[in-house]
Amino acid sequence: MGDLRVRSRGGLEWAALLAATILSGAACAADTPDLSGIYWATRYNPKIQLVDGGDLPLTAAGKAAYENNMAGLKDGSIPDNARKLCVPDGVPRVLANPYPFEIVDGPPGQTTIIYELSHQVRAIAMDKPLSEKELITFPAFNGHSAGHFEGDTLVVETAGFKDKSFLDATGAPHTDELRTFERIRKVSPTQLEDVVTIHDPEYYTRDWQARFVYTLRNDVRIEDYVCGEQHRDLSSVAGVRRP
Amino acid sequence: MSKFAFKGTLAAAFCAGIAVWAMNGHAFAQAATQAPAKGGIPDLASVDFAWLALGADWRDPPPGSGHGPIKPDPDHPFHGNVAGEGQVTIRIGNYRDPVLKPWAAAQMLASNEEALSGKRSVPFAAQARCWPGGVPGQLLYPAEPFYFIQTPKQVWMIWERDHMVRRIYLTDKHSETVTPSWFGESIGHYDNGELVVDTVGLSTRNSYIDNFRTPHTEKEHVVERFKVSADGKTLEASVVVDDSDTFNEPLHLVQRWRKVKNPLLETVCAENNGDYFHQNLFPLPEADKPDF
Repeated sequence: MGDLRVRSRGGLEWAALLAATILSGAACAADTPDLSGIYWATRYNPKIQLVDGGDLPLTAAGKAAYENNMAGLKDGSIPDNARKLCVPDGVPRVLANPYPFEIVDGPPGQTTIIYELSHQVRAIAMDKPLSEKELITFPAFNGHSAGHFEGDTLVVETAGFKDKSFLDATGAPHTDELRTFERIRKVSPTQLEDVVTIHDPEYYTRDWQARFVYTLRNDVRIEDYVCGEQHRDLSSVAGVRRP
Repeated sequence: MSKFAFKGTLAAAFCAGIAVWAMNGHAFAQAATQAPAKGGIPDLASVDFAWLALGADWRDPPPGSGHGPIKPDPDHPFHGNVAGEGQVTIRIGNYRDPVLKPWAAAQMLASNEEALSGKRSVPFAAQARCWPGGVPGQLLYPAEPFYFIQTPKQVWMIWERDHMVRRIYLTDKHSETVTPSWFGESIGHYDNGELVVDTVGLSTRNSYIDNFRTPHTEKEHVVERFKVSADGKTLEASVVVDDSDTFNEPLHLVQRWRKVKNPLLETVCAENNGDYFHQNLFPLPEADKPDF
């Protein structure tokens, strides 16, 4: 119905809209704000923090999976391969990591997020729907992402996850039906916010959000990262406890 | 298509329309004359294509270019998986090549003997065992494509294999001090349609020039020139490796890729990559304690 209304606009209305758009100058440019740059968290929490506080809203199956993960991580029967073998962390765990990352506006049609930690790469297809075929055929630790801008906010939907990762370092569980919805925006000239919504009804009784804030750090370069080697100093990130 | 995606597409189309409409004659003519050359910048990056290596060994440079790549030991010819009928062999490098300094020849011989004795039945190959391939060795990964991102100040090379990333800063000077690392510090510029990359600061642990395990020192200096063929279907890199502590003269190497229509997917090297057939494979990178 909305489409029909658009098509029914008269010539004068289109001309007025066109003129207003040109006169406003930045209207088109404002659709694609520049989020590119290097960002770095200033705080690290091994346990994911809900925006509205409280505990994870686990279903009975989710509670059992979480308890199993925590016990397995503690006694070593479940390896944390994201830290042991440096496989990708998955979303949202990668959002919490205390290493810098970069957002690259490119190549055309894609926003690319490249993390220093385990050189993880997220390719966000812009203004395209998620390919359901890819989600099923090629599950991935970091899933498949599609994004678009809503005003100043990059909105990213991710699905097609492998179920081998955790939502955080404590072993918060997810299924392969997990879907995440991120809203990424600058909240000041030097601060970036990523609010992620977790949708995984088998393990969680409701959708819930976590928020991550990063500082723009174009003064640093992303470094090579190889599992088991000594890496950069993380003393600027509160909450990091290196063993 | 989702409501949001439709809105985005509509907005993009509308803005593109405005942009075309707004071009006056001068602006349009200028764009038309610049478009074919793109300011001398090769078209390397796209969401619609990637580059798949045509083999895991360096090709010879054009005649007269200088010393080419290290070849197989004549006593142990190499027969690869795609070389047709015959027994597949492991790569045994020609440690007798006079271009090698004595220490480098001795190291290659030791590596050959380790492989031939069966002590390590599959010789080290960085990316097979999840280590970065270094520069220029990373260019030899054959089975999965790699991707470029080009921006005015920087170029990224991203390999699908274990999502390895190289960064090239489009500037004319290296940093005053460079801490050696797997991919070193790469600076670059465009020259007559080629991407020229100059790399220093390369660390040496588990880092080789090729799959014959030709070593190098931290003195290694690499210049790569990436050029797309006239039909746009092939990418070629001409590489010069200068390391006077390892080689008696620079090595001149060539690699080629074909354009493939592959989206960038996640391939995780360390997943299901165990030594299932007890071949004493080189260990994967592994942390004995969590990083944080």
